[in-house]
Amino acid sequence: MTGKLVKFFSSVKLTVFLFLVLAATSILGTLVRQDLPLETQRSLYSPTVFSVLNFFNAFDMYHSWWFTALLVLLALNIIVCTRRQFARIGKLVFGSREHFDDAVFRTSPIRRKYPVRGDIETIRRESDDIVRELISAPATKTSADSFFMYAEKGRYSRLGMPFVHISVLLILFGGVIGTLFGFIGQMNIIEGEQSREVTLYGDRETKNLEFDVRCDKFTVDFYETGMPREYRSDLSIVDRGGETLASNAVRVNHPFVYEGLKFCQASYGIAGALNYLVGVRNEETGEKLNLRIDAVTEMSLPDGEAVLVLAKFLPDYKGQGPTVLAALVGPGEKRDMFRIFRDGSRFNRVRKSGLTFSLKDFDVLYYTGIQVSRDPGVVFVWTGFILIILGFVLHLFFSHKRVWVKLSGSPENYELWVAASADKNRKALEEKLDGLIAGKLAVEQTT
Amino acid sequence: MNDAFLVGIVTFVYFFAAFMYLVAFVFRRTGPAKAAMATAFAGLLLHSSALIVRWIESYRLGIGHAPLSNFYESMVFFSWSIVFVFFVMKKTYRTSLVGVIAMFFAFLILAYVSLSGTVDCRIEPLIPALQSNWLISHVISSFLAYACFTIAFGLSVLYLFKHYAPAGFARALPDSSFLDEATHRIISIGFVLLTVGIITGAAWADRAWGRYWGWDPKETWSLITWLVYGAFLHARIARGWTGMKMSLISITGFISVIFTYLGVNYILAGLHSYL
Repeated sequence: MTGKLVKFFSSVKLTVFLFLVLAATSILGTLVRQDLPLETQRSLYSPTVFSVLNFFNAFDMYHSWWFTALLVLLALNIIVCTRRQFARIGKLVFGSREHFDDAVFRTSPIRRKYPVRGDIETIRRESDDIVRELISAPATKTSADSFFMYAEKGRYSRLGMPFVHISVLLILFGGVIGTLFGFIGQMNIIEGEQSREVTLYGDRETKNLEFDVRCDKFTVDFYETGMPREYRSDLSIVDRGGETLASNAVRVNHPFVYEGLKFCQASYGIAGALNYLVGVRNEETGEKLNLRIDAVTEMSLPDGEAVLVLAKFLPDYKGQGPTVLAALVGPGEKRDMFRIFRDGSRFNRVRKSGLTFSLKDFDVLYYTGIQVSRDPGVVFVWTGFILIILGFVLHLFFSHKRVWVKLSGSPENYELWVAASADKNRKALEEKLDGLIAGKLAVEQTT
Repeated sequence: MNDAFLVGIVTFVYFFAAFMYLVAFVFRRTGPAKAAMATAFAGLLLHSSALIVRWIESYRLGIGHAPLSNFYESMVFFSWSIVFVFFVMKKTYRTSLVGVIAMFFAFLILAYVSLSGTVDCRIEPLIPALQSNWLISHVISSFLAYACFTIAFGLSVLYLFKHYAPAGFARALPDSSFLDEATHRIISIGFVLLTVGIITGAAWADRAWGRYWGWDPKETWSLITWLVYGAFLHARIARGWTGMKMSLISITGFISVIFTYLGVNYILAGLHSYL
């Protein structure tokens, strides 16, 4: 049973199958939005389609049981294959550096045999030169009328592919850790205010931080073309006692990290306005005056009779620009509700009281959308990323080359055996070897 | 000097180089092959200088950034990458046919951006999300990968062509085993570059969006592409799979590349809307 399972998971065909199935199913999640709450999804599809999609967890498919199962199968596949690969290359990479084995002259992919005659010392020196040039200084075993040389280079390049595969496991593991023990969500904070409540992505639950985050200031800066140049939130971390623990600016691409929590600039919006300047004109007398109103509030008009209530600011009312919803309450009068538009707008009409109001100026009050996340798995992912690149470099730019040279026979009838192997680009090694032998093996060759 | 003007010239140079490579292939002469290579190389130099001119120009406008930030710039760089990859890997291929493929695609992309008139070639400032040191490494590795896959796609189409074309015509094409081997080599390189592209993208996303991976459509499609080419490389090791099946996976991979590059932006919504 175990044997069968191991065999199943050691198959590269399984890898190909899983890769293609993962690729094909991943398409689904790019066609169905993954970032909407279920209730919104329900309204997007017919009831039948919705229930089918929901049955297959299509609205959060990358975290679904079946997608996870595919990834688990892939992980098992990698583990079993890497174990097997290690069993195969372990000795080659970590074994002895003196590898004298006659079998190589029968089994190596590159084999040569030259009948030679002459002084053994000369033959040894010439062979040594060839091996040195081809690979590196050899280890040599010598006796009276024979020698055996072995040299190798780049044995660690064989670790390239195992590194790549272990990296993929590390990255998957980091992903699991992040999903289990991390969180990601957003908090919207109005300038000058503070909050500890994070709305998590996905299930929209809220999570309370250990401390408050205060937005001291939010600014948005534009290029001349109108394109945004910079969004910036000045944030402070405030403890329960109201003491500021840390302050930092958060810009896009420049997150603020505090105690493992990462704060990123995600969005912004207009929460309201401040410091209104409202123009009032008495249509009968032609009298004008400007009212400075700090915030949404009530204010008595200078005549002492009526009260102006600013109720709600809207950044844009039906395409007419910013407005403020206002009410005028006079003694014995009914409440007169209306909107105050920008100064000069034709929508500002004379009210019952004979006054015209216009919005002359205001300061926008922004809220900043800060994404908050914690991901304890990220260290595994980064390690995996570095290791995968290292693995590819080892695999692509280095190869494990080995060469054996043996002299046997008697002084009258020596036989010089040469064997070589390379795990990559064997042809180049073979050509180089033949070239070196042709150029450097000066001893007399008998045919 | 205007970089768009230079790109216009390069377009014609590449067309001419593709044509000469075709002549060299059909008549099997080294003369035209050498002339084609010289033309292509001149094109690459001119193309590189167009990139530099644009880069300098952006600094003159006070919004200096590498010319890798919008659709026009990415297309011009895509074309450059194809020619660059072709020259780097040229020694591997001893046939003019790869030259025809590379120069043809390089020409086609430039022809679209410089002649169609629908692609806005103005130099724009960088929006906040793009203001990052990761921009250059991410875009370069991604597009070099795309370039490898484009050449592989051309080879795979030739493989299918050879399989179905009339015998006389098919004989003129390179050996099936050569096409198979060449496709494999260039896909291996492309796969590594794509991996680097995804990793640099993840590192960037972690800084810009606070997470290294968020299943955004662009991210997901890059993973799909990675999986398809990963399947290609493993299928070869698993034996049995050569030739026809491999060509089909390679072509599927290229469709996925195109979707990753363009489809996501024009069909699906996501964070990567600037490409």
